[in-house]
Amino acid sequence: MLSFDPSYFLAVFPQIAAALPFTFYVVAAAAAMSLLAGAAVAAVRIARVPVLYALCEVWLSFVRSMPFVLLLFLMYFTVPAFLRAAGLDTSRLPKEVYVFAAVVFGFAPVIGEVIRPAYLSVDRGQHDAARAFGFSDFDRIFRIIVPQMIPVAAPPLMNQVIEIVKDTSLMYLIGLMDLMGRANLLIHVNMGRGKLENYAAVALLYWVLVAVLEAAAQYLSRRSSGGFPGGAS
Amino acid sequence: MAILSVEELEKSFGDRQVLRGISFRAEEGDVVSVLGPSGTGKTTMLRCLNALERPDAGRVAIGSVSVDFRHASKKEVRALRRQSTMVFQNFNLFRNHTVLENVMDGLVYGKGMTRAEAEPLAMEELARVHMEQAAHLYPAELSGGMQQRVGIARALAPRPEVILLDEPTSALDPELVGEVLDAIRKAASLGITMIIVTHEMRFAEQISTKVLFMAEGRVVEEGPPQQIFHHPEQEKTRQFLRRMLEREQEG
Repeated sequence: MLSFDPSYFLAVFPQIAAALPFTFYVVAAAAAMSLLAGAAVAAVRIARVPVLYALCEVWLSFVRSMPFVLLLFLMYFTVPAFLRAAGLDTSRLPKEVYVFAAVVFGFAPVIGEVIRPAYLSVDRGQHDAARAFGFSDFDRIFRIIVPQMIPVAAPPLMNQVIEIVKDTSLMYLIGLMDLMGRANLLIHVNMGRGKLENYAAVALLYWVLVAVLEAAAQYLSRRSSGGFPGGAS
Repeated sequence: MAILSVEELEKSFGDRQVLRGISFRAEEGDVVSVLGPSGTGKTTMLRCLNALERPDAGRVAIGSVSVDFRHASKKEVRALRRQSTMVFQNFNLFRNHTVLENVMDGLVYGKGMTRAEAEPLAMEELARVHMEQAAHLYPAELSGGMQQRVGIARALAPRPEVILLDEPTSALDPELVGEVLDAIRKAASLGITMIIVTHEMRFAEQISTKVLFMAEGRVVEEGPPQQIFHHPEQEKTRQFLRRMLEREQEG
């Protein structure tokens, strides 16, 4: 029989919340790596680099069809075999590395497809003006183009980060102690009782985590775009 | 010594040859108007002078920098770009920067000045085009005429050897053209060399020291404005001027 014991909920909540920093660290690191890799994918596609361009297309089509759990298992069970075959010691590798690998592999081409149109949405004349006034390539991209991409790219990028937050909850399957990992451990210790209280705590924490991320993204996108008119915000 | 010299510029887009060997020179303080029918490569020629379009062949020398485009390095191209600034048909002010920042940008990112050094110079240029009141507005908050006046202040601020103006009034409502032409006159009175691609015939006649008439990717005729406007030697030039002057009278 299912019942909800508020005092048990209050007891497990802080224990599960203690996994929040680790969960946040994995999500933040995975998202940052995916953003970098996604920018590289976008660059390849914008510059139409031969061969790589076609590879990115196949990559995108593949990962779009893959459930994240499959990518995670693929990384966790096959990559160490390759590394060992190459003579590397994988026993000291922290397990979150496999999560990073799965997230980057699964999200880089998708994030590339968010960055590419945002880049192309900035008028060519902005590039012309930066070049004509002697900007270095770095200054042209990071002082002029990227700030104008942010209002366009921020909302869909945020959606991808939220996907990453949710997909990485599967990391408990390879034994990592994130929010879900903690909850499952507590239920196990409690002989299978208190599932509702534990999962309710996880649900609440995810809700708060995503709400905070969304608020932060809104604040950042307003600030880094300078709030210039004609941009979003 | 010419401040700008262009030798045998060639440029094709695909198999369409747009520039078929353009050569001309400008002395310091010259205002060179580039006239000619649409689609004859005027804008392309101008954009080759700062390598926004990379010429296939030819040489451009501005001030102390000379670049042979058959084998020009990235470094040479950037050095050439720093000799000139540009005023664009569609203004192309940096949308994420304020008016003041736009005028400072060429000084800060192009010439490596500190913001503290650049700001008073930028304010001075904004005052010259009567835009100092708008210093803290963004381009999207301004009319086209105001944006283009800022564009002119931005082009003046780094005190380049040459200012390139690409149809600076073509995107403006007719009633806004005057204020921009006034700003260009002021810039010319500073003695800075300017190359202007324009369809404003009367303005070109008044302001130029030299006129270049282009057709089909070539310089058909060049000379002082009195000569080109009143005693053109080439039939093509005569036809073009008749058409353009009739249109200006109607308008």
